[in-house]
Amino acid sequence: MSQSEHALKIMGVGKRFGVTNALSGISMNLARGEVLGLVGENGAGKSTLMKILSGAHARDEGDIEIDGVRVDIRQPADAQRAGIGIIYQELSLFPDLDAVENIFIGQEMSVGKYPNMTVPLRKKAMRDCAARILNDVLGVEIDLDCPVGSLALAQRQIIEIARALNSNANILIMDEPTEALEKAEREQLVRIINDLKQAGKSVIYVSHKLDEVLKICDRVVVLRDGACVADLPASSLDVNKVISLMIGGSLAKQFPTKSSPGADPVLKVEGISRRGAFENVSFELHEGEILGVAGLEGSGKSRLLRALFGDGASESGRILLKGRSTSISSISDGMNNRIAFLPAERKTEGIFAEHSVGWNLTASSLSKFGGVRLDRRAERIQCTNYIRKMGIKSEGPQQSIGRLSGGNQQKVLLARWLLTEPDVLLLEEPTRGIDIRAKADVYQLIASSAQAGKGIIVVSSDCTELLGLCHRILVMFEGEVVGILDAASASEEAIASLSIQRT
Amino acid sequence: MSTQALDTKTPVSKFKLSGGASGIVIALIVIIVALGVASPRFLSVGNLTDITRQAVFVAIIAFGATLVIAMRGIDLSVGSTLAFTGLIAADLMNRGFNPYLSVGASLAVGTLIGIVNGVLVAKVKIADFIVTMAMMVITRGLIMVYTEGIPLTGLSNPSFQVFGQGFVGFVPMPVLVTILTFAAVYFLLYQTRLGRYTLSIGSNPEAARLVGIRIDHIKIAVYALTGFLAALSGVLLTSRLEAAMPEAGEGYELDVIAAVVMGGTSLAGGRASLLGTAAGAVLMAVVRNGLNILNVNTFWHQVVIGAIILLAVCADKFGGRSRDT
Repeated sequence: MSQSEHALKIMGVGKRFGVTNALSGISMNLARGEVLGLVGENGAGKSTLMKILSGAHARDEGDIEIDGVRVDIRQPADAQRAGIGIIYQELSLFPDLDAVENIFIGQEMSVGKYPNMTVPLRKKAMRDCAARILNDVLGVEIDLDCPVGSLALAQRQIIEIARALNSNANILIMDEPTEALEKAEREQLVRIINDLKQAGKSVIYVSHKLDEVLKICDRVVVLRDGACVADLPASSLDVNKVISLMIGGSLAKQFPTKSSPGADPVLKVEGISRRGAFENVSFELHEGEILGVAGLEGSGKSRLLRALFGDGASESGRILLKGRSTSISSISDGMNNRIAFLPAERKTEGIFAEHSVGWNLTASSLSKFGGVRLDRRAERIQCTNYIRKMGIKSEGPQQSIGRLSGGNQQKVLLARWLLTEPDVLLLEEPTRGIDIRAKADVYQLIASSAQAGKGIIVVSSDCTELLGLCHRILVMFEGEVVGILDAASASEEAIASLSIQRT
Repeated sequence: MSTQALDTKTPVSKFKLSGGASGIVIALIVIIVALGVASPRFLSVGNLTDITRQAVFVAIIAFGATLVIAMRGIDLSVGSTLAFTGLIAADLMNRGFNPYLSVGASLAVGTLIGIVNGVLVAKVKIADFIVTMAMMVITRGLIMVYTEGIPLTGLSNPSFQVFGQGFVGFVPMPVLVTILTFAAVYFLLYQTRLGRYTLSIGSNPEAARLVGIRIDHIKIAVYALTGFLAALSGVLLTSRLEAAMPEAGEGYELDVIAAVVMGGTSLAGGRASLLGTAAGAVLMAVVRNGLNILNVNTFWHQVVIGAIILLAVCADKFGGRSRDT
């Protein structure tokens, strides 16, 4: 069969779920050695398209060609055979197995000609092969012997890439690969993608981070409402243009105007430490102020935030709330002191997936609703209020939260904590994995809470977000505060150089 | 606008219903009708009363176990606790203590066993399976040490007999106690913070911790409740038999789990159907009774019951209740 110029050709692919058209008539090409950006709002059809390519969903119509040969992808094994590898946003590694075992999972090398499950494994050969892929092809050093669960997120992601390469994937699909990565790790990933490209591999890069997409990709495909609305070279686009293509109009403004904070400190932290987490941290948070916290993964920023809530509390130092010295040694202490904490991992730390919006909304303030018997009428009224106030798109408090989009779930969680009427609001990655419009809504909600006089701390790995939203930005490095910047005069470069210090 | 509001109502109410016990209730009705057709004796008042009497001992415990399982826990100690607390009540009475005092002591011991289970699970953080299995073996062992395998009989005090044998109007006392227990646990589960927190822990333990739920307190309370209910069941059974049998309640832990799971409470936690549990307990008793009436070899009973449990769980799994994201 003659070599086609396209590694992948999609022709008129469509998919229906019940009566809704999740995708219709999608056609696009992917050349060998090309990096293609795939963008669109949540629900635009990106993940459906990826699931079709990876065999998780079967398409209803259209054709897929790989290297000029028509393929029928009906299940994950078909995709693997066709040379499509997918690196998921939620990593699909086995945390208790080591890197070699993960890279070879499902395709172990075994002794003899007839592989079956009871034949001894060729551990040395697999190890050498894994080391070659990691060191020579990807150019990274990873400990092959420790369980991958104990490795950093970026390293685990690289192991996933290695796994795809090991299964002879020529087309790699990356779903939000940098969402949880720090800057230096992101740069490493960008280098790896470039190397893969040089080696003739094709990459489909799916992300919400548009500036990154434009930087990394050769071409960008924009999906909207299940259809392909643009297929243009990255060089002809800019972020604003992509956004307007995605939403089919223009977005007024992403970040709200900052109101000026009050004079009184609502929270004052004096030299607090927790061994192995953070050391000698001091700062003040004023009424109505939004304080950002930047730093690499492992810099102690999340541990600090959680400690202020009482989860893994500080061991020494002083915490003053509204001028009063307070001890916060447990989550109950934190909540009694009117501190609220929105965790980063919405699915695992935030929502109660099998329960309703209302259930989720009132989870941390049930004591407000009656004594022994819950006053469910009052609860429902309060929920309806918040759903309206926060602009949560749902069918009402009874709807299952699992059916809401990520952005709306996040608003429910924010409402959960606003309902506790906190003085201090601790937010960890408040906009991770939610779409542009929802992001703008969440920023607006944060800003109006600040305007209402609450003190707000935002931990984020997104520097643009910190600069656009916060008044000041505290930068952490190896558990210590290495600088507090004024957001008005700071830049992403300034934050980055502080957060990496000597390295 | 208003039509849209109406439209959105349908899926909501549907969702609510599927969270209930519809499947098991239908299965129960079908089986009762079938047995009624197969044998006219089955639907006689006397036989139905027998079935209810058999069902209550498992049902009472299963109400508590519903909360345990909805919290992603398991309690294997309930059968032994039933026998142990029944023995305590019987022994105290034989030693001349007032029946009410004896029953009170028995319930207190049951609660205490539950608290010990709860503390070991929630505070010492030993796996619930191990803790309650050890407790099951220990209490059964203590019974054997004390009784040497011989039943304790001679409980002829009428004010004790009334628990297991009395009637209020035409309702047998144990049935009345079961109904009251159902109502109380129903209230706890659906109307109070304790119930809400129990389901939250089962749904997402980490999220529950981060909304400030004292997980350890809730776990201890739920295990204590289950211990208390096992003792209550033990008192009723001892009173009905007028004897404390050393082997009483053997295998109840499995019947209880079966009743809960057949009723639609997920072993993965987060969801509970108390009505389903009640139906599950009745179903077990109905099947056992039906097999007796139809003169099926006793050895086959286990096979049939096991198959029914599997069927019920499969029906639950493929009945459109699977959830994604």
